Amino acid sequence: MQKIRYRPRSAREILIEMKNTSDLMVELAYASLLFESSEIAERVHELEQRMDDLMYHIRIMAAVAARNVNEARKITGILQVAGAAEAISNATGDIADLILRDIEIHPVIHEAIQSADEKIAAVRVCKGSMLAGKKFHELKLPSTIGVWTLATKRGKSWIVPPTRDTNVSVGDFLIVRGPRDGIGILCKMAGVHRKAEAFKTKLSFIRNTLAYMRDMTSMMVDMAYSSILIGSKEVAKEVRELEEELDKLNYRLWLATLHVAKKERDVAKLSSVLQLVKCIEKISDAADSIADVVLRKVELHPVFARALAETDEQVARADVSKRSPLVGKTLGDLNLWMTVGAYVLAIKRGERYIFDPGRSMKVLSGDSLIARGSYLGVQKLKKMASG
Amino acid sequence: MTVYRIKQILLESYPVLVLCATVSLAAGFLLDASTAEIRRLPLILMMVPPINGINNNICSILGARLASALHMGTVEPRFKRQRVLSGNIHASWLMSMGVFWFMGAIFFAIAYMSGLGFGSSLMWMFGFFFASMIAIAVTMLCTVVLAFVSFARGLDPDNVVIPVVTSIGDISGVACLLIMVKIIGV
Repeated sequence: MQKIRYRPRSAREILIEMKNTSDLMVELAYASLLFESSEIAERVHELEQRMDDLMYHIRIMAAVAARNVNEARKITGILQVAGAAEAISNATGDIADLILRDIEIHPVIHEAIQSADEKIAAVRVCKGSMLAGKKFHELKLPSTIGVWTLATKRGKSWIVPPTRDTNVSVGDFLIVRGPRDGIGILCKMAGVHRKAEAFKTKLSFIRNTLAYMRDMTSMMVDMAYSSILIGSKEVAKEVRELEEELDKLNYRLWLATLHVAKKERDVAKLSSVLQLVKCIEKISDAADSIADVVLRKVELHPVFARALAETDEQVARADVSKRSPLVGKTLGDLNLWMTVGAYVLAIKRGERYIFDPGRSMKVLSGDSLIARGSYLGVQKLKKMASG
Repeated sequence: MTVYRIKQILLESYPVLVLCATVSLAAGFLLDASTAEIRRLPLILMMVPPINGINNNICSILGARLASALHMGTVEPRFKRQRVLSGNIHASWLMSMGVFWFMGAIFFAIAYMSGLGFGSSLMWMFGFFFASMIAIAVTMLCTVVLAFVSFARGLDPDNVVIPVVTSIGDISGVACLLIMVKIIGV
């Protein structure tokens, strides 16, 4: 065990890095499964170690900072959230292990990842593409089409994750995630034709449930963070309910997989499905443990709000005013995910919350939209909402 | 939790305490050098404990609070655009202003009763007030810088920031008081 040197970084800065890293790791882990890429999986492992370091540092900071019981109570909340982020990173590390240990991945996993709401794709930048020669911060992909770049591959070298100043050049492979339409636009920008996914396996229940569970956990994590941001017990309770629903799905998926196993000769491949489900379940547990901080009757530490406002992908609340152009339109018409890169997790109407609102849901004045997106995307949404 | 052994306490605190003793001694020398003025107006001597005591207490509290805030990240180790830091400084500033006005009023009463004229009693009151405000401004600046240093180095604020701040408070308090005396004249 190496000795870790003291570095003056505040709990806020560490928390920001931990959330950014764990968010990235989840997507990278799925990408490594989808493309069966050991390079991405190895990168996930490196990040997992980084998370261990960060956890150690944030514990030190918390221990030094607490000076009275009340403060210490609030700080335990910070440690709990940091611990949850680390738990998420451990789960993604287990997903990456499937690739690194050469466990065969069942094709239904590929299909499930492709049929989830949030897509992961590899896009090659062709000659004459408008992306070539630009830097990522000039492209502003997350705040315009909701597409985040997880990694780029140039020749044999990988950049995971690309920074603001990373250049895009012809021949690069971009590993991206985002809504279907957004990825479609990116493909056009890159000058490639997008293939439609065709599902070959007949395991539609497993595929759909797995895809649903993946979307659900990512939503749970986002909602758990937003419950902390806005200090809302309702949102936190919803996370808890989703977690129970996910547990039920988890059970049914195990049963379904075991049923299939009776007929299947190659059980090794099927085991990868169960391994993945186990990891998804761990991520949902972590989300629940974040929400738990809100449900406990302890005031939230002010560091949370500041840290969550500085992460790469953030959750935010936008209050819709009378003059807002959003009023009276449905979420389907607005398609905010693709136009400003903001995904609406919930709508607060009066005292009531509407979770996971459908496309036909109308936005009314006085609503509060709880959304996730990039900093710029969230700012755009707030501007639109205030009119 | 560290178990503080005698040897450890001595080793950790000795260098800082020697430094602090030297600085505080300098404050004593300043007083000693002005014996003439003090003999003519013993009221000056009465002003030393309050100005030092309040100065040191307010700044020690500020230093301890800042150290925590730096570790949590509500305050960052820089001066520009720091809402929480400026809030802390403002609060300490207002607090000291209140206490020093109160002390000033008492000194006015004492001076007036001991036979000084109304005008010069008033002058002593304002003199004390401005001297203490300047002293606390200097000490507060040192406190903020020391809190930043203790965070950057990972030093114990209880062992380092507070002793050093109190010595600085001593010398700045005495120095400002004597400068005030020189300006007003006895």
